[in-house]
Parts: sequence; C-alpha cells; structure tokens
Amino acid sequence: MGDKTEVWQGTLALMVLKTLEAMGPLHGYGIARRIEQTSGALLSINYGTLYPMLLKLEQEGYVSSDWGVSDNNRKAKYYKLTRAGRKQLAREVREWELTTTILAKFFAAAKES
Amino acid sequence: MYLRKLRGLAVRLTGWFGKAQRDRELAEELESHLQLHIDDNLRAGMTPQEARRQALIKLGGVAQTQEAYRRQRGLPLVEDLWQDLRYGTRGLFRQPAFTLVAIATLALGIGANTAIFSVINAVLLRPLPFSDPDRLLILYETFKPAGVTAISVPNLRDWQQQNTVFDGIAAYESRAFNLESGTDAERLPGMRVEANYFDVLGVKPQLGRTFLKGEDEAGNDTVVVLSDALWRERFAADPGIINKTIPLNGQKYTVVGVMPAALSTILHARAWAPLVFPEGEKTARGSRDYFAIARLKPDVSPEQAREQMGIIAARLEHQYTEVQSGRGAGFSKYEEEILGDVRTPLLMLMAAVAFVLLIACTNVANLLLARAAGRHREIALRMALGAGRPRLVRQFLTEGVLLAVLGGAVGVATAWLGLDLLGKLALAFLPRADEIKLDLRVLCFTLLISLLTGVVFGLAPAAQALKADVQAALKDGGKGSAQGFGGNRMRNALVVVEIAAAFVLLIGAGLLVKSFVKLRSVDPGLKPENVLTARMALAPERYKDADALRRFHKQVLERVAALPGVEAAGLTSHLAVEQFGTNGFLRVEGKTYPPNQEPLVELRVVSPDYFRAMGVPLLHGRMFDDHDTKDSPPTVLINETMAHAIWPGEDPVGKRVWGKPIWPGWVEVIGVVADVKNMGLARPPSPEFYFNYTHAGEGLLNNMTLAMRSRLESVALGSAVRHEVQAVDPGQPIYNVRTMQAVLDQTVAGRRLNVTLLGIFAALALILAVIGIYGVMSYTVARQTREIGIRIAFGAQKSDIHKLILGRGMILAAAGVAIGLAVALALTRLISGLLFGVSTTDPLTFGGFAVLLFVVALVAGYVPARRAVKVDPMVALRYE
Repeated sequence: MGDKTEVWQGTLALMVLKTLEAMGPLHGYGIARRIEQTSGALLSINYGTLYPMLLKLEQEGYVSSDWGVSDNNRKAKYYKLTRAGRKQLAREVREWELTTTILAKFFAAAKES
Repeated sequence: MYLRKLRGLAVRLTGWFGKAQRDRELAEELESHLQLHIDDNLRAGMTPQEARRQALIKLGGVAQTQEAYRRQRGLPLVEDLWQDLRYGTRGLFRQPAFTLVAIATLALGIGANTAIFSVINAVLLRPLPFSDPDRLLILYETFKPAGVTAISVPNLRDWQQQNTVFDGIAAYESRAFNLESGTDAERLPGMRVEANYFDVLGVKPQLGRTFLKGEDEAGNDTVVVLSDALWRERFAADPGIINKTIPLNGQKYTVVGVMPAALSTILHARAWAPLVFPEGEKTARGSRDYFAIARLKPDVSPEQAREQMGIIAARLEHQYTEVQSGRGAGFSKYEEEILGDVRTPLLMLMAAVAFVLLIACTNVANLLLARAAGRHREIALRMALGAGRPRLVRQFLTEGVLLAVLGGAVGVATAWLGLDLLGKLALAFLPRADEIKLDLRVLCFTLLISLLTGVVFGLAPAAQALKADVQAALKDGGKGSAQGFGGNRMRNALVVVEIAAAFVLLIGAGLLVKSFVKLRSVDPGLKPENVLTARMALAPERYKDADALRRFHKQVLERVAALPGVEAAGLTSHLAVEQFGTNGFLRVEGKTYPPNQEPLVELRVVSPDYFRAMGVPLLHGRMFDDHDTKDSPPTVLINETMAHAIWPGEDPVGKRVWGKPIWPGWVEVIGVVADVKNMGLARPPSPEFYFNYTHAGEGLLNNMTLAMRSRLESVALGSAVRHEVQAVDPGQPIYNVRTMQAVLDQTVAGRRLNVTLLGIFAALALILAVIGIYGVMSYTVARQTREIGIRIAFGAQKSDIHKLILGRGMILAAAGVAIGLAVALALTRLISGLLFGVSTTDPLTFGGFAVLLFVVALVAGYVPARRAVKVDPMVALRYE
C-alpha cells in the first residue's frame, strides 16, 4: 500500500488486463506472480493490492470471476477477460504506445539540444 | 468509458447488500491465495511457518487487504459517515455527563448567536420594503457651520424643477394626528407627505391607492392613508374602509389606502396625509422646515447626482446671496437614515456572541481532548486494524459535528424561546424589531455555524490522533502516553484563546457598563422626582390661531394647578432632554459676527411656571411673571451656557436679541436659568433660550407638553389631568403620560438594552472561561500526579510544587491577556461612538479585568495544586 499503488493504479489495471489476455482465466495469486515475473525484478507489489483492483475491474465489467480448481487441486477464484475488457485493453494499449512514442521523441529531442 | 464508470458506481451502490456473504467470499479467496502462495514457498524449501509468514508479508496483511477491498466494494464515504455517526452516538450515550455538558455549552453559544443573528437578519440584512432601496436617498440642505439643515419650500421647488438626476423628490414632515372616537381621542404618530411620496419611496398600498397629483394642495387634502397596524387595531382590518371617512383633527378625512405591514415599524407612522405648504412658506427661502426623499435614476451614479445638486445649489447661492450664502445641497442613503444608528450596536453584539461561541468551542475542544486521551488505546488499535489516518480524523470530525449539531438544535430551541422577549424589549429602539423571527436564513446560519463549530473543536483531538504512535500506545497499554507534549501544547493554546476572548468581551462590557453608569449619574439640570409629564397635540383644524391655543392652555393650566397636591404646572413646546428645541442663528444687539458665524441657539417656548414645575433654578435676574402679558414687550430667559457663550464676563440681563422666528423685533433678556441637558444626557448643553408662550405664534403652541410637580401618585394624577383636559375640550387627547424619571430612563433605554445584553454575554463568557481554565488546570495537574510524587520524594517542598503549577497558570493568563489586550484595543475603537465619559483605553477597565483573569487563573491552579501536594508520594508513584 502507500504511494506506489496510487502511482501505479492505472498501470496495474492495464497489466492485469494484459496478463489475463495472455494467460486466459487466472486466479489472483497467479496474476500477481505473473506480473512480478514479467517485470523481472523491476516491480515488487503487495499482492493484497491486487484484490481491490480486480474488484474494480469486475464492477466496471472488464473482467468476470468464477470459482474453479487450481492445478494443484486448490479451490480458487478465477478471473477472465470479458469482451468489454478486451476492447478496453486494446484502447489502453494504443494510448500507452502513443504516449511512449511521444515521450521517446521528447527525450531524443532533449538529448540533441 | 464513462458508462463503465457509471456501471461501477451502480454496482458499488448495491455493494451495501449481502455484505456478510461477500465478506465470507473474500475471506475464502484470500485464504486460497495464501494457500497457493504457501504451496509455492514450501516447494521452494521453506519451513511451513516461514512459508506462511512470507506469504502474509507479501500479501501486505489480511486485515488491511480486507479493508481496502471493502472500500472498493461499497461507497466508503457514505458508509463511513454512517458508521462514524453510529459509533459517535454510542460514544455520547456511554458518557452522558460529558455529552450533557458539551451540548449545554454549545447550546449556549449557538443559541446566543442564533438569537442575535435573527435580530441582525430582520433589521439589517433583509432589504428594506422599498423597490430598489439602494437608490433611495434622503435630501437636505447643508450649511457650513451647522452641517445638515432642513429644506425651505422655494429651494425644494427649484431642486425639483432643475435636477435631471432623480426620478422624483418628495418632501415630508413628521406630524401627529388626533383620531377622535366618541368623547375620547387617540394620538397617531404620522406624516404629512407630498403626493408623489409613495412613488418615490417605491411602495404600493395593500389596499386602495396612494395620493393623487393635486391632493397636496389646500382644500384637496382631507384624504388619509392608513398603516397596516392602525387598520387592524382600529378598523378590524375592514377591507371596506376605502372611501369611508374618519374623524381626524376635527375634520372628516377620506381613507384612500392602506399600506403594507412592513412599513409600520420603519417609518414610525400610523397614518399619512398630504402635505400642504402654508402660503407664507412658499416664498420664504430662509424658512427651512422639511426633509425630502429622492429616488436616483437607474443610470445615474451618486457622484453625478452630487455634482449636479452642487451646481444647482451654487446657482441658488449666487442668486439669493442673502439667505443662501454658505448653503448647499446634500444627501445620504435613506437606508443609513433608518438603520445607521442601530448598525454598530448590533454588530457589536454579534461580535460578542461570536466570542462567547469561541469560548464555548474551546471548552468543548478541551473536553474532547481529554476524552481522546482516554481513547488512545482504542485509536491505536483501530490503526493497527487497518484504519487510515484520514479515516480516523474523519471519525473525530464526525463526532465533533454530531455534538455541534445536537448543541445547535438545543440552541435554536433556546433562541426561539428568547426571541419573543428580545423582540418586545427592542421594539422601541429597533426598526423592524417586530419582524424578528427564526426564518430559513437564520436556521441555515445556525446549521452553518454548528458545522463550523464542530469542525473547529473536532480538529483538536483529530490533530492529536494524527500524531499518535501506534506501537508506543499499544505497548504502553493505554496508560496515558497521550500526555505527550503535543497534547499539553494544544490544551494550553486553548486556555490562552479562552482567556483572550473572555478578556475582550469583559473589556467591551466593562466600558459600556461604565458609560451607562456615568450617563445615569449625569445631572440633567432639573429635578425629575415627583414630576409628571403629559403631551397634548392640538389639531390646527380645531385651533385655528394662537389665541385659541393660548385660551385652551391657560384653562388647562389653571385647572391642573388647582388640583389638590399639585405644586406647580407648566408647559413646554419641547420636552426637556427628550426633544430638541427648534434652532436658529441669533442676532445680538451690539455685537457683530462675521457672516454665517452667528451663534446657533436652541429655542423652547414655555409657560411661566414651567421652571418651578421642572425644578430648574433661576441663577440671576427674574423669572417670567405677571408683568409679562400679551401686550407687554416680549422677554426671554437664557441658559447659563448661552450667557457664557455670548456675553462672557458680562451681565446678560437687560441685553437684547432679535426674537425671530417668534417675535419680529428685539427682545430683552430678563434672567439666566441653570443648564438642562436638553440635547440628551450624553451631550453637553447648547446655548438655549426660553420664550414666554404668551408671545409665541401658533406654530410652536400646538404640541405642548404639560409638566406638573406634585405629591400625588402618578396614575391618579394622570387620570385627573385627563379629566380636566376633557372638561376644557372633550375631543382633546393627552398621551405619553409619564413621570419625568421615566422620560429620562427612556432616553437611555436603548443603551440599557445593549449594556444588559453585552453584560449577560460577558458574564456567560467569564463563567465558561473559568470552567474551561479550571478544567484544563486540574486535568493537567492530575496527569502529573506521578511527576509531582517523584519531585516530593526527591525532597521538593510543597511551596515549590505550588509555584510550579501556579506559575504555569500565570504564564497562560499572561499570554491570554496579552493577546486579548491587542484584540480589545483594535475593537474598542469601533464602539467609541457608544461610549460616554470613558475612553476606549480606560486603564481602570483594562487593568481591572486583567487582574480578574489572573486571579481566575490563580484560583483555577491553586485548587488542583493543593490536591496534588496532599497526595502521599508513594501513592503518587504507583498512580496510573
């Protein structure tokens, strides 16, 4: 908790959506591990922060959830992307790419001068 | 996007339902999360304990996650509020003594604020019942030495014709009417007004019409407009009154309209009739008798109007140098005319109750601080369980506001009970006092100050909670580590604020009380004991000339003087102290003054026995007596001030002055009488001369006041006098039958109300402050029992302990008094106009109350200090 979540709120939501797109239905713990692994050692989050985020995405209709059974026979709640979630992901990815392109140009320009 | 957010909101709204089910589900989900993580950790080779610990750390706490999850699930703001309210209410019920004291304190503060604000709301804030009252002005002539004077008819006419800045100018004059009914008659305060008066005023009648063009010309003027109050009281609100006639001043007047109720208490008129200028005045440019109202045109600024009126006045001054030299035209807002005098006292009272509320707030803040200290462990526990600091602050604020709103509700009820009384007391001096009530605006104001109050004193414990150290508090087991420096500092600051506010209020009340006492001890220059006064107004329609008036007065005087027990009976055209005389510039035989610098003197018309009746001694020369008849040359008596002002070091007796406006010739001074405080008790006497009524014209004779010195009881004498007057003229009322003492009292009654109210508020403030200071001192000392025990164990003397505690109280008192002094010095300057014979920095008042507050602080510290040193050191050490 703390400032990190606030800064990463939007980003975290995007990562969750992307993870679900890449992995298919997944439980909270799995999403958390996956995000950490994907980011390498760069990102360390409190797993707890993920649950309010998942709830928010569910409230907004981007993900849906259902109880299932994990590979090692544990009961767990699985989240999966909805159609609205897919669209939202695509939109946010586009926006991010645009933002990073612009920023990259800025950094390049700053270096030149 | 937004639709999605909306959907989220909708889901969260429903998040209130099925809470238990959802909580269970989350608990299961988190448990499965932990299990999955633990499985992984075990696989990585950790011991089971370590695996679980690491999983928990990585999760960031189950309770915290649950709390964050819950906040996302529902609408935390609303839910928290509800929760805090429930929790707060439970807390208040659990400590009824604390709750009652807090609510009572707040109710006093908020109730007083509500009451005074309702008065301000009714009198100052609501717009006057005229259309566009901002453009309504009162016009007058100006004169260099005297300032403001009335307007003469020719000047008025020239202004009316030549200006292009006003929508209308209408002259008026206060004039009373006698309304006859059977053998009795009632005196109606009223006005004579030009026909366009109500149009300029911008008021429509509630019934009928106002005056028509031409009704203010001689012969057309027997029409009358009634006030709402008169219409209701005397005519049973009969809508058929229009076009009926009523007997007024011995003539039949046709009722043409009824004004709305709102007008009655502003204009002090019960009836209006058209103003017909006497023929003689229409050409007398130097005879200034009227005031006028004017309405500024919408597109004209006051500056433009002032400029044009200046040009017109300059032209008149040039054209009629003899009478207009040094004369100009001026105006001010009509609103100022009506409300100017009451604004300062009302704002002063509002400031006073604000200080009372401030003190009440600090007291409650202190209570809450003490309570919060006791709740320290609870707070720490809640933080450990995942309550964020903002959440805790909100909890405190909610509790504060809850208390304040409860206090406000009780306060409104109290104010409502007191308002009726306040309105009645204030009716005589406050315009619109009858409209004082708790309306929506007042209730909004009260709610607002309640919320503000709640936030103000809720913040103190909240700020303390923010500083709380969870670890320490929990370890300490709630054994009072709240007694940190922070808590003390805040409590001390509150005491300082309290002392400062009480000091300011005491100074204000002290200065006003002292003024009032001084005013009451002023020698009025007459002996009011055993004097009864009664006013008579003789209608010019019935008493057409001075001889008729004199005949009436002579008969009445003879009959009244013959009543058993009456020692002397006299008449005066203007009642002493209460009414100003008429004034004018005096020509003195043998003296020349530079132009416009003739002495300005007051004039009163009296009967010979007036001085004996009022107890005004003759200092020199002779009184009016039988030598002064209608046919003898007129004579005057002058007061001491006039003697010194005009003939310093000379004997005025035998000197002559020009008798205008009463006598067209020189009149001789026959004697000097003592000064009477005729301009009011608070003002020095003006040069004044008295004219014998035998020689006065009708203009000064039809509003005489009877003054009688007698040993009779006033009610009995009053009815005897009424009987005698009726015997002379059955249709003639007497009114305002009062003892002279009552007249004097009445001239200071407005001040008395101010002083009483401010005194009550100051006393309230002092009591609250004493309670607050004592509370804090004894609380602090009780908290230090252990420290004191250690000191005594180490050999400190009782006197050292006393010094320690009392010294702290003195420092607080000194700080409070210093701040209060600065504020008081800044504020008393604003009320200098309300003071009499006392300077705004009166050292006795300032010093006295400073000492009082030091004594209060001393006593407040002494009692707990005594208790503290009595404690056995062993017990003290084990204490807590």
